[in-house]
Amino acid sequence: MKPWFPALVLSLVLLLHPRVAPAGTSAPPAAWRDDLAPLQAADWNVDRAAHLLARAGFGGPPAEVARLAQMDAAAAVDFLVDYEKIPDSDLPAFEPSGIYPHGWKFGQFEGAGRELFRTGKIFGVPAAREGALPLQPAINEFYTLLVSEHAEMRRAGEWWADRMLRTPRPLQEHLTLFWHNHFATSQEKVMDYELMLRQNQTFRDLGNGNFRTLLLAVAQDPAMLIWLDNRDNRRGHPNENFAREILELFCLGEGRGYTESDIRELARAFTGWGLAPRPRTNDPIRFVAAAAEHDDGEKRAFGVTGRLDGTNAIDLILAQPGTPLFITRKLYRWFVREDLSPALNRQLADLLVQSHYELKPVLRALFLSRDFYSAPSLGTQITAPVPWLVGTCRKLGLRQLPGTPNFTETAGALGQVLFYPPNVAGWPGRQTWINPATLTARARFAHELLYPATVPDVARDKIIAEGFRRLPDVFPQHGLTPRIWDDHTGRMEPVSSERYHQFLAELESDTPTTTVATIKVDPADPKMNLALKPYGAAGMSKAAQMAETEFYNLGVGVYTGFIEAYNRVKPIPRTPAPVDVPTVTQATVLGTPEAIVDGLGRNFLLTELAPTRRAALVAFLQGELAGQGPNPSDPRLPDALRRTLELVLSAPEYQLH
Amino acid sequence: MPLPLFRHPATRRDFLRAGLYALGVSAGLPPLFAQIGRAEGNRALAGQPAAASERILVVVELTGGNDGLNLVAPYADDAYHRARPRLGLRETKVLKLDDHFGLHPACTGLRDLFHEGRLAIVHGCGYPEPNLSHFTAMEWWHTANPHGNEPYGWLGRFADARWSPPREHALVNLGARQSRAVTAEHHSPLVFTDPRKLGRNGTPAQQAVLATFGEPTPTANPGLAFVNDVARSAQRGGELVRHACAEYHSTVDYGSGNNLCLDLKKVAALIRADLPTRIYYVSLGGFDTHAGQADIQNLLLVYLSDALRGFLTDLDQMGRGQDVAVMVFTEFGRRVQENASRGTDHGTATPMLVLGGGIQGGFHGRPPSLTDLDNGNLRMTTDFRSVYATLLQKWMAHPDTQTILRGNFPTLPLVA
Repeated sequence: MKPWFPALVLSLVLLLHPRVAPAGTSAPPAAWRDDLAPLQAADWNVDRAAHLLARAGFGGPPAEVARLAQMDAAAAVDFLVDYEKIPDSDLPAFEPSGIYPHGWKFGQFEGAGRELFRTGKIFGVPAAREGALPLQPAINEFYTLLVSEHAEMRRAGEWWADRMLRTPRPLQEHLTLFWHNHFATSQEKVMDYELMLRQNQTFRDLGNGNFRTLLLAVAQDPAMLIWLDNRDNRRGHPNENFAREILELFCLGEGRGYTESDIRELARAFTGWGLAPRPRTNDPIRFVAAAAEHDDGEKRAFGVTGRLDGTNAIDLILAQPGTPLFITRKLYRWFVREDLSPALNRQLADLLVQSHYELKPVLRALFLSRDFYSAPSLGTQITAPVPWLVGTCRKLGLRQLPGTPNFTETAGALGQVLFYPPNVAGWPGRQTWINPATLTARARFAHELLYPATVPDVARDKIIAEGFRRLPDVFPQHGLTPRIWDDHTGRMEPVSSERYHQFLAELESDTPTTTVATIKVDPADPKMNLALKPYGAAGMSKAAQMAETEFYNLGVGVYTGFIEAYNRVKPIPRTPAPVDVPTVTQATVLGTPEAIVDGLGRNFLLTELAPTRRAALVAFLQGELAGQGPNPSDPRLPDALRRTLELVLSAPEYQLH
Repeated sequence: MPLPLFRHPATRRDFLRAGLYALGVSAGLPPLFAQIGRAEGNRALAGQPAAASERILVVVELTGGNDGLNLVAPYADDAYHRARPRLGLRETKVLKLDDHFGLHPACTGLRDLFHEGRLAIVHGCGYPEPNLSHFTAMEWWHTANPHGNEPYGWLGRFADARWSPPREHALVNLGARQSRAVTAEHHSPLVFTDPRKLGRNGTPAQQAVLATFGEPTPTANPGLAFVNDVARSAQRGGELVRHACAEYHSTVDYGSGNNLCLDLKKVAALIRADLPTRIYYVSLGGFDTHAGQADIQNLLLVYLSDALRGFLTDLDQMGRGQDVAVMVFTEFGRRVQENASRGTDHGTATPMLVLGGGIQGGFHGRPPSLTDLDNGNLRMTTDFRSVYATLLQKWMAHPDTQTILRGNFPTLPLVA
């Protein structure tokens, strides 16, 4: 509380002070629309500071808005854009669980096959055991790694969201999210949370820097090389996936200024950009430009002929007139609004070209422009789920991401799980964020945040995927023990059959919206047919010998994999959010129910509350307090305020910023 | 709020005559209900099936990649039994459809529908350059645009193209998450599993405030106008769905023990209540049968067949059998050769099913060869988008499928 106190008082003073102009007359001039000229000092106020913080960051409590409002407009924008100047070394680093005890990763499956021949082990686990189900230990470990990858990625996603919440550099995290959406890469295919985090750090390091540097780093990023298959792009066997997307989605836009032939030629230029061989299990995964795999021949793209390599290709793309238009359009539509006038697009693109693809001048111009503060830009964007969740926590003054309700589950119900964009085009966003189900889920989050379940039911991140839960009953011969997560020991602990069935019944009565099991096994055959391939490929007699036996039981492998993975991956804390409702609602300072509702409107909404809704909220608060004014000693007060706050967070107006 | 007129309906027309007109429409009906009821009532009283523009399409997704070769088994083909020594269905076991193909023995309901001419089987559906990842293949079936990175689904794009301004509750998706297939730019699908949870909880006093969130309110902010519409749709849709599901008690047997039968019962209840919905989307998971396929697929196909048979019977009983078509798809079929774990691995082409009173039953398209394979996989003979195009154009009476499906796909004679 201490460091916040002076700022809070200051913000209350600012908020209580009558606005210079009454609401309605302070509307920005219509001429500001599409005007890139900077805002004048006299035009700066608390509302505009709140708008800036909501768009360039994730919004924040009144004190944070007040701090920006006290600067002048240019200083406030610089404060957000030049974030390197702000120390952030006390932000917690991600704490890995250590999901690779033997050094092997899920993605090294083919190498694991070779290990089998050399050592009789897969992932360090003996595989060619005699008797029934000889490959069962290896399959168990396969699933342990598979589940661990998703579970650890989920922890990493929550670490990132927590960082968005804590950071003194909100634009840095917002840009990281922007680039994650722009160069959308999913763990669903990469299946290596370390590489996903490495890419995430690249976005964080380079997000406001030079776009060429960023693009080059992304083109050589291991997660991207896996995601868009450029590691398989070799001389004589080109894979065009990356070349296609760098034009269509990363730089020019679909069908804008390139041909199929350009794609083919650029794919040849990128041949050889892949991952370095890893003779030993623990060798780092890193980029290599393999000369032997590179097609060094002459290519012709965008009217230029030459023996282009990957770097030349990137420079050629950056020289296309469509690229700066596309990048600035994407930034504008993310940070400002949907409809961008061609003239303004041109101005922004020129700025990007003049600055040799430095992003800061463009960001600064955008956030300082009159257009950014013009009426069509204010409170008109539907807030994406992750910024909505983080922003809500920030506005409520929380210092860390709450464990209940769980962030990943809520974000999933709302349609945006970090590190799992739906495809390389990113989240479609905008209106698709809101449908009856997601709108209801937003209201449910508000409720669960303010009224957290006091006794955790079951650890929702430690539930075994549906369909596999009943295996202890189905395969008694495999000696599977029913296990449930135990909060006290922090492990999956064996329970009696009776307790286990009670647990299953509880689950059915309240099916969780998600489990960690975004488990989509993608065994385009070699992986799932592990049992066959190593033997069959070598033509060993063992293959014939085993042809009539089963090598492993898949269900047993999945079940065991879940148990082992949950023991391996650190638990996700489930601490509820300590929302200080009287402080947040400023009830004791503001006095009347009308003032409290208006205060909530100022601090939480960026668009004016409809009069009917305001009246209903005031009537509600009055009713809860039985017609009495807010009195700190009234025992009804905390709950009345809490319910009012919950309603504000459920209002349609709160879904926009 | 009890709706006595929804009880004991003999036929839909009786219900309308007795209910809406004899008992008084506004008795206890929410206003929207009454409105829809009246419009539908007039039409149904005239004894007509729904106009083509008001027909309904129900899409059933089989998640995980159903083994089409053991759903519609080419039991007379030696190559089938060579590839499937343990999983192949023998002539004595299949439910014969003709002297070459038979249905899996679990599918007695589907067999009956086939013989009644209400089940169409489209052979060998797929697309060029198939992808064997669940994630990617499903995305492509959902968006109907392989490699396209489409943000919206084919059904969502259809709704946007068809209804402007958007039709309220045009799309209903039974499921924990919204399917990409129904994701639209302008339409907001109703997504739910438990009707009771479709709506917001709150104290009675809070409900009064929540009601104002669903009331139309003028605004110059287009974003807010959109959210207001969805809030309204959520509130009204939630109310409609809760009433419809609570008040309909089908006497038809849909089978049991799975979410497909539960979800199709909800769809029947909503159709019965005359929601303005034209697209329903449901799914059944668990088809990724890499190991021990026989038992798992048997159970799943019992679920599928019983639920579809029950659903069509229920529709008949409410007089809507001619108004509803059902399309069944999965993201891919499975490898022709069975694997060593008594299962099958990811494959390619697979049959699609189309069912309904207005459907031209029987076999459509050309069966893929079991010997001329592509890396052990079937070569597709019908582009799945031809089935989509047929349903949009011939069933839903929407002529311009080319824009929606990003290409011109010939239609099939699936609609009677």
